[in-house]
Amino acid sequence: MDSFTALLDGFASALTPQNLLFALIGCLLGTILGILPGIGSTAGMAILIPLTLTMDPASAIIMLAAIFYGGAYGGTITSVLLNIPGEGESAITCIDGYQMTLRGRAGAALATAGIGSFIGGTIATLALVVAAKPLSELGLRIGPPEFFSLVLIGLALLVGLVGRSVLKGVISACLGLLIAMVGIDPVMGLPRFTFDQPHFFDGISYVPVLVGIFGLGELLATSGGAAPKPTAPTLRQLLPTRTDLRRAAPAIGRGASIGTVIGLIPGVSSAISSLLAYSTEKKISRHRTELGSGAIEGVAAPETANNSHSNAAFIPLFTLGIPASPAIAVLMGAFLQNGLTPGPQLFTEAPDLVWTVIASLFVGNLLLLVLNVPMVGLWTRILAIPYSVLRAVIFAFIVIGSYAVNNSVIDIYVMVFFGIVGFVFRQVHLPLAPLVLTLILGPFIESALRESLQISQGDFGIFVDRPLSLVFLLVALAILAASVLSAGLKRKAGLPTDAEV
Amino acid sequence: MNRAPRALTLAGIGLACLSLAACSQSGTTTAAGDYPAKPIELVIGYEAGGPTDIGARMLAKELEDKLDATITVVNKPAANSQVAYTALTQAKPDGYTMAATTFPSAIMTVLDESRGASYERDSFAPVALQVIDPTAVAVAPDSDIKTPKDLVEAAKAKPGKLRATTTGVASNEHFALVSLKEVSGAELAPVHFADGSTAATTAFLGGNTDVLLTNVSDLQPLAESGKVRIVGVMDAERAESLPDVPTFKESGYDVEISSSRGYAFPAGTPDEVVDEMSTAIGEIMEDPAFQKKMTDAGLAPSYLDADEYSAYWDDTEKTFGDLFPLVKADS
Amino acid sequence: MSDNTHIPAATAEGGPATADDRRQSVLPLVVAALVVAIGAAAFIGSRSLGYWDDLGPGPGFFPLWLGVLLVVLGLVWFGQELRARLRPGLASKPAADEEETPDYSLPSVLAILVSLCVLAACLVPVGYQVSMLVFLLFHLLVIGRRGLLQSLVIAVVGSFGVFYAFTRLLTVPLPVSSIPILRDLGL
Repeated sequence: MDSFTALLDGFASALTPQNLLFALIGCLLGTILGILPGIGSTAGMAILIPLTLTMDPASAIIMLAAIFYGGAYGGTITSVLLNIPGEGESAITCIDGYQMTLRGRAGAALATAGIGSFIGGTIATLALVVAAKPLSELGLRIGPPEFFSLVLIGLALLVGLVGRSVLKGVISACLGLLIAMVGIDPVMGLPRFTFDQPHFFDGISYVPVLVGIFGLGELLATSGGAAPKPTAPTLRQLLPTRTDLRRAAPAIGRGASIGTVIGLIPGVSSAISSLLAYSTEKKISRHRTELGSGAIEGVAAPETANNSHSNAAFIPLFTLGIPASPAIAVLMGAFLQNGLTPGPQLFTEAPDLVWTVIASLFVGNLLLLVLNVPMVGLWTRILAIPYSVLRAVIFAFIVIGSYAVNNSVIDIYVMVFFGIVGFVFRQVHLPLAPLVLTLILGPFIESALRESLQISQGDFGIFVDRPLSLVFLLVALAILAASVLSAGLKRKAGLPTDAEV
Repeated sequence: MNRAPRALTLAGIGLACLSLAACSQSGTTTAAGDYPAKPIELVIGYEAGGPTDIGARMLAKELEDKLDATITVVNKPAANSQVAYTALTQAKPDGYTMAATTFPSAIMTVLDESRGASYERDSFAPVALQVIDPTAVAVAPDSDIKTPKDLVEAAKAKPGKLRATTTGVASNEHFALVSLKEVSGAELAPVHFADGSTAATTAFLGGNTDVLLTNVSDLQPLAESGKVRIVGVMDAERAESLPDVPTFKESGYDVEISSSRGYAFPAGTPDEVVDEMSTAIGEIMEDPAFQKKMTDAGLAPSYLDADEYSAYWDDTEKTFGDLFPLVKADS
Repeated sequence: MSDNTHIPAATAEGGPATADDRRQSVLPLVVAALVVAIGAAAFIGSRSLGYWDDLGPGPGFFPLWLGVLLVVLGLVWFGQELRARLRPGLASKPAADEEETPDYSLPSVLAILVSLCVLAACLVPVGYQVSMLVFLLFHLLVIGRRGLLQSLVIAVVGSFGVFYAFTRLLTVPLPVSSIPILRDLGL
């Protein structure tokens, strides 16, 4: 096989000591930048691009790519240990990840996230090697109408997320959607619910919202003396048990497929992959009732999905020359600055470089695993810091993080406001997951609907005329029907109506 | 507390007095030699890593050497730069706050009254233009549309049926469509992708729209790989990188729409400071090595000095101002 | 998540209401009323946005229906909570106060919120370094009751150290003071 030998050559040059070193530096830098508040992997790469200009193109791109997925893992660390999501993609991991931390199982959560990320990334990269072209065609088939129907699947999965009370779940979801409505609307281009603040014209940035709801909200709710505090795991608890791995395996499998497919669609953020993966677990996992209270699946699925998403996003870059996400756009800038135009012609113009970079994706994912699993012990030592000190540091951390997103003080107030919201939600038992889901999906619902109707010139038939969109719609309907049906059966069986639906 | 901080404070107050004195001096006679005496803040209204940011950071690095100053890049990515422009125009006009100004955002945020911008054209002191990236029109490689004329005729044959991408309501692609309709009567149906040109390009490549409108720099890689055919460029002259592609103007349709990126101080900044910065940028941009760096990053170098940029700003504002009511009526 | 403890509703039902319980039991009613108010605000706000146009839903379509939904759901919730209070025996759903709520202390909550807002308000005029130094000292010394030396070290690292790392090493600018004297001191 032609691409196979090319890949082997790629491995040969990716494994040179120099390239290996840059991949290692990139993974480490990325992880640290991901942990630092307010600096995501995109900003991290943008900051470091000038450093790479004097480097050999392959090494430069290898290092930047390593920063890219190292950053995603860094965000997971703060989500799990401190309940602070660094970026949207690790927000949903907070829910079960932090519960695991409260039970002293932070080590297992982080190790599982690392293993899941490795498997997810490797599967997506394999897909890039084996079937880049057909897969990118598939990605293009998902136009606005298909995407709208896909988002409806996400909303249908919401039924699984609402928790014990359907009423409260739906209220939470509606509030999330309402927050997502803030900003310049996609139809007329007018400011909507922006309180005359230009700052909100692009919508409320979701990092401060999520940091407030999860991080600050939890700190406020547990400010009393008797509340459970995170505890550092003992040495024996550092690694996942056999049961953990057995339970995580199917979740990792599902997460990897979801992430790989969604990652093919240019312009869709990996937060959507992790949300869909989590909601899917909540709906079909064997231990779905435990999700939300520290189940390993709730960490494994979204973390796998977001890393396979990040790696799958290379497929549209290499086959179409389209930067599928802001981070990939920065990487594309690095290609361009080295005189290389990403796209299919790159395989003929600079095959050595392309295959070296692809091989380095495998190597980088492996490095991330061998770097981070042993370092889990180090990260979890953070929890051994006396709680009163840790708490003060976390406050500083979330303030800087919220500020640094847009270099704006307004975002600190947004974070504090949503901290109060998160606190109140916990007091009256409104679930947080539906709000997170609709907050992130919300902007896409409206814009995809609008774009579809502009394409069809006002004909709603477009959603059922296009086969792929019809399939998605039917899946969404099936999920809804199944939920209603199973709820009905439970009622007949005399179970209380507030049981899990 | 103890003695050390007090000593520090005293020293600090002394320093402050000195620098205040220096400031008051420079306020009256800003000799070119005095500037810059402290770090210059460069505000960018887009995210780190975007095309505006990349160009600005490249330039900032060279400016630091040229002016022997520290330049701090501050990204304030919100509201299509409106937040950055508000910060700039409210800053002290002393030459130590500069912003990347892009068109159409610097013009649109003023024209669109619903956005309630606190600044206007006269709040800016334009410094220099760095990049002009004209809007261009592309179709599928197997399409019958080969020239701007073909496009107009195809659109006239089926008014309002040919779908064209834009990057949002009142984006420059939207202006381009309205402008084309004004001069030729060709009516294309806009599909607005508020998420930007990636979403628009993807939808076009997936066959969801008939025509792709975006900047020349975004189209070039797609054209090279044979994914699109560029029909025409909406500029006064042909693009240097696309010598074979006609302009709309030479085909008889006077449509000129570009996005451009430059720099401005707040209004009231001393002319000497504006000139010094403008000249420094001009000298950097004359350097072939820097030009190559920009071209490699997909940025077309097009330097204008402070006066030329001011004039360009006024012209562009007039063009957009005339079309704006039509764009509003269209959405 | 909040409902990590699956206490059956029945075990807590009918117990004697302490003062603490009563304080908690008003909160769901207030929040339900707030939900209704937010829904109504969204509904009213959406009326000026345009409900439908030639191609489909306008900018006011989604906010309008969200507003309606929130009002209805908020009212239902309010009703449920009220019914649970008036006739405790008949409550078909577990009222919020019968589930376990995490333990919080109101003075701490207020101290945290106020200190965060003061910090945010001071960042621009006073600058990051001094504001964060004072903020951290307050949390470590006053709230956390840590030792003076330890607090000082952490606060200096968290304020001056972080400032240096972010602005110099990462070129991510944190705010400096807008008061000239402080600014010229490099704060």
